[in-house]
Amino acid sequence: MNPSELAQKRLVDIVSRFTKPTAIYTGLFIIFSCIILFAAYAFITQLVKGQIVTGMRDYVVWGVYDVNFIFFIGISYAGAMISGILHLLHVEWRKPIIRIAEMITVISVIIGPVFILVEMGRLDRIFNIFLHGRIQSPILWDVVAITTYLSCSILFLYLALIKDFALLRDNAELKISRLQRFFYRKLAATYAGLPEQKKLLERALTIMSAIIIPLAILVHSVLAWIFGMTIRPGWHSTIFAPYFVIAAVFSGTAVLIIAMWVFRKFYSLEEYITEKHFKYIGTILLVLAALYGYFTFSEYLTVWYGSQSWELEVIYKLFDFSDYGAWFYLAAFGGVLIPMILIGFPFLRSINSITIGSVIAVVCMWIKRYLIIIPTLETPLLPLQDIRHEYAHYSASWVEWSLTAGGIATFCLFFMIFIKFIPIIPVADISEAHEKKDFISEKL
Amino acid sequence: MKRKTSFQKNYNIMRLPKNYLIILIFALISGFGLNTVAGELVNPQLGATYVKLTNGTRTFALTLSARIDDKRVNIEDAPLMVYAMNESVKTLLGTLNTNRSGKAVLAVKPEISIPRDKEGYFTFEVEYAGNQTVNKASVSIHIQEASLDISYFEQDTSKNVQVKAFAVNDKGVTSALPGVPVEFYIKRVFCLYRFGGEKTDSTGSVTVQFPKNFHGDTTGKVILVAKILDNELYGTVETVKDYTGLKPLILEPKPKRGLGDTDAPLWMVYTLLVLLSGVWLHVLYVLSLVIRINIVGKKALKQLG
Repeated sequence: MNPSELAQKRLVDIVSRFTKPTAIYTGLFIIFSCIILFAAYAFITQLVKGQIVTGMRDYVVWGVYDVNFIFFIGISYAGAMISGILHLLHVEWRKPIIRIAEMITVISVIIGPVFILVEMGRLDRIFNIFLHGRIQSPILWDVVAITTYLSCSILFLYLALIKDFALLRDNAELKISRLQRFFYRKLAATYAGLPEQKKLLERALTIMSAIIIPLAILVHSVLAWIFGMTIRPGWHSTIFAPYFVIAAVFSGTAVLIIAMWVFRKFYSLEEYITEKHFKYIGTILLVLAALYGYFTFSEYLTVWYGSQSWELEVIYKLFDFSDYGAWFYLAAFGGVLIPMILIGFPFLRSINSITIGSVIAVVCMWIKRYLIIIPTLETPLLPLQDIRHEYAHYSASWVEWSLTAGGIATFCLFFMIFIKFIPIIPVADISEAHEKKDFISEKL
Repeated sequence: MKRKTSFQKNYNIMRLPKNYLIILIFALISGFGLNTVAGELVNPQLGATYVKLTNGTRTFALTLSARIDDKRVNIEDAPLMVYAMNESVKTLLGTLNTNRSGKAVLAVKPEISIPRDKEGYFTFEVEYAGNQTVNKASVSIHIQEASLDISYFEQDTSKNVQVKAFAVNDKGVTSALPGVPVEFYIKRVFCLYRFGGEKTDSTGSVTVQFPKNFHGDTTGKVILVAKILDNELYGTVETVKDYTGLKPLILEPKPKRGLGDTDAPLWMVYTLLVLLSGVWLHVLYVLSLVIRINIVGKKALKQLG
């Protein structure tokens, strides 16, 4: 069997696994759709009644929506950093998991900013951001940076997909609709694996890999500067940008591991996503957990030791079990130590334990983002006097929780839709890798 | 485990109403007690301070409160009447209600004529008529009218501020006030800065040194304030005067920052534009590579026929 036939055979094998209708797929599709519909109802409620239906008030003007925004932008790092760095370093084992990482990036960068729009309210005035945007505001930098990041992520994903689009275009065995085949033909850009085309595509991919890494760092740095440049306790920190970047790569890697586990489990991809992938990515997660723990310790130690009264107000809220203590210790210790223990000790290390560690890391990273935003906003400089409790203390409403659930459901649903049209395993790349391996073994 | 006998059961059942009876008796006793306290009228505390300002306006700062259960409670929305009186006349200067803090301030303009007694003193009376729960109350203030005259002068290298305190009788004749403590201040944005305080000498004047190296505002001006503070005989008397010719305050230009300023530092704008342009130019280049891939493929297809 020639390499092209082998690639087509592999393509049929993979694509048919994803296109085959299953009860679990249908069930999950319905559940996620219902959650999204309910979120839409919550959103309409918010549009009709105004922001009063949320828990946000005069003091806590950023709530769960912002937490979700930072969280989703954070997990987008999976594709940007993992895929980008591994591509630049020509790491061969990356190939089966790289598509999942790139898809996480694109989907999360689409969903994340939607939360900002939801939070802003008065969407009829959205054009004012563009009409009266102030270039000196980090918020506008964020809008520009995220738009650029999204464009580059889509382009990066597209470039990686060209070879597979060409395979899908040329495949006669798969049942593909005429419309779908038309799109595959257009998107494949007449790619036929010619040496010149290969060279051009490789160059394009290398450029995008090199660009997407600093761009991702820039996006999260800008996000961190929105906080860091505001003189408020818990925010005004010089290490916030690298701290945010590390936290983002950490959570992105954890989400990648979870996604790898889900696809491996439900689509029997053991042949492609092996234990080796979990161990390698798990090791990256371990290093990131240690780095993230170091940054957390450094951040809170300096603030606590500095003993500035306003800063201490927030610190004590975070340390106090009657306030945010339980959440803080869970996020600071649980989110770092549990993944490190589960991955660090060889006798505990397995596909399932690495995934459990990743789930804990992801949950803790969401909590951590909550703890960055809310306690600080609940601690204004001027003492609170004659203010209703709910005006100074934040508690997310059902509308906010519904939209949060809607965001997560949309993330999952986008994946479920994409895998019907795009091979989740880069077939062409894997076939090329096998071809190269066979060639080398023949030579030897 | 011991089983309860029927006697014990009965005993427990019987004990319940007995307990209730005791509770009821206590409740009635304490209830009567409360009613008795509630029936008594509360005795309010009425406070009044008199302040005479530079322009001759007289202000009365009034407070009305009561002590209930060892706690000070402000009485709000209570009507207070301020009278000026002598042996024969009682003139109503004004009626005003207390605010949420139990406070009220009445300002009496200088053109309003106030009767004096035979000795030339002013007597003011503040009255609260009371209501169903609070007793009536009154307080009177006996004041000899005093005024302050403030001036400043330089002697050798030091700057001095002098205040002359004098009493004014009903015919407008002034007499010096010796031995009266006078406080000296400079007006700040939110409060007063005290720079001296002494008693007047036999001529009724007192001089204090103005603080060295004290800057004025951007035009070199400060506002001097001199006060006789809460004096038993004169109340509070205040006078103000502009002091010019001080070293003007030179405001440091605010450092320009991006956030919160109307004009961002240009280097930031340029850096941002260069970075973004760099990224977008690369994106365009990559798109051109995709087009080239397409062209190469089309050429190959043409060659194949």
